[in-house]
Amino acid sequence: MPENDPIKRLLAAIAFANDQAAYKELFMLLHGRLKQFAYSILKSQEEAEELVSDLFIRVWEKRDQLTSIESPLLYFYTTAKNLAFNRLKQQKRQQNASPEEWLVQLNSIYFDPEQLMMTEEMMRQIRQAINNLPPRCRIIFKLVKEDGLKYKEVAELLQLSVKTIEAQMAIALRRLGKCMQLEIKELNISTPATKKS
Amino acid sequence: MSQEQFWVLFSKKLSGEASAEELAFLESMIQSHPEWQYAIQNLTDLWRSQPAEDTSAGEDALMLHLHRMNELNISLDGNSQEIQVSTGPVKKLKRWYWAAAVLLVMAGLFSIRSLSGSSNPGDEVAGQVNEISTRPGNVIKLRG
Repeated sequence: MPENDPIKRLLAAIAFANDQAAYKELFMLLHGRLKQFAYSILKSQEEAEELVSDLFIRVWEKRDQLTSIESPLLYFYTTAKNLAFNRLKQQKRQQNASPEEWLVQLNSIYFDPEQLMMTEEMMRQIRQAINNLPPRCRIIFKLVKEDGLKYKEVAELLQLSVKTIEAQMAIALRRLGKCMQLEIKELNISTPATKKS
Repeated sequence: MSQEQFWVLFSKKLSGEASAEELAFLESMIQSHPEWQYAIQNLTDLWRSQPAEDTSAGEDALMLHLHRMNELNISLDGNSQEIQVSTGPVKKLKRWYWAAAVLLVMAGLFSIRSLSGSSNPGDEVAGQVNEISTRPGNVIKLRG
């Protein structure tokens, strides 16, 4: 899962030393995830591939300006989203721009039989629960679990509140918990004050 | 605490968003419910499990991307928009320029010489004796 700090180091090497190896490493690190994200909006593998290439051309051309970015991951996803929206606008397909219309591929629910002590039936239920997540919940779950974005970054990317991200993540985990017969009843315990995001 | 709050805290724990206080609270709650342990452990393992990444698709995409940059004359050497020309043909071109220049100079010299030659036709006939007949019997001899 990519994180901001290694990406910052690669961006610094690209900006200050024209480091081609760092540029290629960054491409390899983010290409698959960004392509899937772009595909979810554009619904075309070819266009998603071209979009990621456009994005990385922009990275090279603006490399001097990218070292001061606080969250490079958010920058990459926001740029991918904006480039995808521009394409939809050019093609007069703006109706596909809403996250409810995005075609999100979840591929990290991976069952390692050596690690997970689950029955076949439980795995089937989990797959079904994942596939049946509401579209917005699905994209939020993917961005947090697979793409490594923080709640605050997902909120900014999708223009939602952090509380909405918390609630959607809770829905996703509760549905998965149900598949494992984990039902949490109302508890007589006072919760700690949650930190404000 | 509602069940929704439990799931909010648990998902925050998995995604690394929970504060120390929230984590301590959640742990104490989970420990006091041993019947949850199995499911909680499985959910945690499921969250952490990641399929092995296939890098071949990324490598192919990188090759295509670099080819595209090359086509757009964007150089990874830091000299964007610079048209790359190999040095071989340039050297050959320079040689042709020199050869053409020498030929031009030679042609120029030749034409000057020719022009100057036509203005003094006597040079070629120097030493020859010309004769002009004016009327029968009168002959004038000319010497150049």
